Amino acid sequence: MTEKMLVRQMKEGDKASFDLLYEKYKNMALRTAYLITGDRSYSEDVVQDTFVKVYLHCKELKNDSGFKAWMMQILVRTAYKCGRKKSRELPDEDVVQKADTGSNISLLEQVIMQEETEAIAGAVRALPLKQRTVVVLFYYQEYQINEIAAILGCLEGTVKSRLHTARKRLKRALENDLSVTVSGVL
Amino acid sequence: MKRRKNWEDKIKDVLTFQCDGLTPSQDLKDRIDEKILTSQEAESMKHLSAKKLIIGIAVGCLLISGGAFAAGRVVSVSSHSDWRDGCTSYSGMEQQEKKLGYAVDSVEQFSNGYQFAKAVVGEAEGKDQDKNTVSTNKFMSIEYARGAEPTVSLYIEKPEVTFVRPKPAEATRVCGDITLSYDSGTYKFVPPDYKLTAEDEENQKKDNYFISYGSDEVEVQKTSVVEWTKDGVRYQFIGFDLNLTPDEMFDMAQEVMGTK
Repeated sequence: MTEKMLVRQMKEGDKASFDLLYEKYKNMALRTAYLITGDRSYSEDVVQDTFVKVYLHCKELKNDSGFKAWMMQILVRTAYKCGRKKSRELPDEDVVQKADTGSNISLLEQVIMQEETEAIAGAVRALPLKQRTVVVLFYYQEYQINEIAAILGCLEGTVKSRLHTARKRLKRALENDLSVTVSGVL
Repeated sequence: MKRRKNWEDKIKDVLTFQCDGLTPSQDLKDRIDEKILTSQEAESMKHLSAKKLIIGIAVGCLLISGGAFAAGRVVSVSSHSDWRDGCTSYSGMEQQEKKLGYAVDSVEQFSNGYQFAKAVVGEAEGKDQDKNTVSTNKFMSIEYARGAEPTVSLYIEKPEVTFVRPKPAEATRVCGDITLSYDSGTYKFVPPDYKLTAEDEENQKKDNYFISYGSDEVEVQKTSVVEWTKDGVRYQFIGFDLNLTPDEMFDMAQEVMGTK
């Protein structure tokens, strides 16, 4: 069954279709929420509120083919609200732990990778919420500028501006933290 | 798309790495489903402007049984329905009847001007003293409107318990082998933290006076109910502060039954 059909059936009150859509998008939603909020438990709250809103307001979705973008719109707004309430961040230890696992590379390479990972992750986390969101949608979700503008409900120029500023900040942060060459950013 | 710089690719890699393998906890979906259900219940109550349907069910039961359902164990009834699953056109009634599982008597328009507004099928749960659900029963609620006047709800179910009338009805009308009964009562809707006055406590001793907690403000309304049973299906016309006499409600009931 196509996603469009599932959406249509959900709009008619079919809970099973909603369940299938949840299964399809739950991981993506949680990971995106996590990257925006920087907190595991908050990201679950965001996903919870997002899918509750999705089900309760699905009849407001005009274009059944645009479900994912619509859901992302809800998720980002919910994450914003959550982020405004509290700006808890992912403890660095989490990233360190992950960088330690499952590799066949040398210890030195691991350490370098770990530092680099930490630096980049820290730089992204240090971005203001709106810039971080644009970065997550652009780099992680690989959305186009116009798609991000639609999700955030703002002009493409605003997205470009946020991305431009975020890149500059990231570049500056990475240059300071690492001896890596970060050139030709803009 | 513009080619990304090496360090930009690393951003993608790091973001992916950060949340790789992250999956929702086992109970997240349960929490979502529970919240949806709770929201739907709250929403359906709001849309119904009733407190009135849920109370309506209780009104019907209480007016007839005086608060003690003959089955003995059921001491309260609560209901949930989702108006999004209902219909706002009389042509949707067939679908609602399918959901209910049997055909019901109904009309699209009454001769006194009340018109079909919407209908929904829901589920009523009978609970015992410990709030355990001891019975569930599907019901249909049809709402009729006439201009800006209070709406009348036609509540239909196949009761699983026998309702015993503790006192004679205020008025009756016999139609063939079916008796229509009219009762009225007073409902005082009060906020959750409302403290009963001495007068309230005195009023509560009456068979037809009820205090209902949960509203935003204190509101007293008169309820009117006409009830009859046909082919094992129980019908109740329920309204609050209606501008209808018992006879007018009997007439409407007969129109539903098709005997007028």
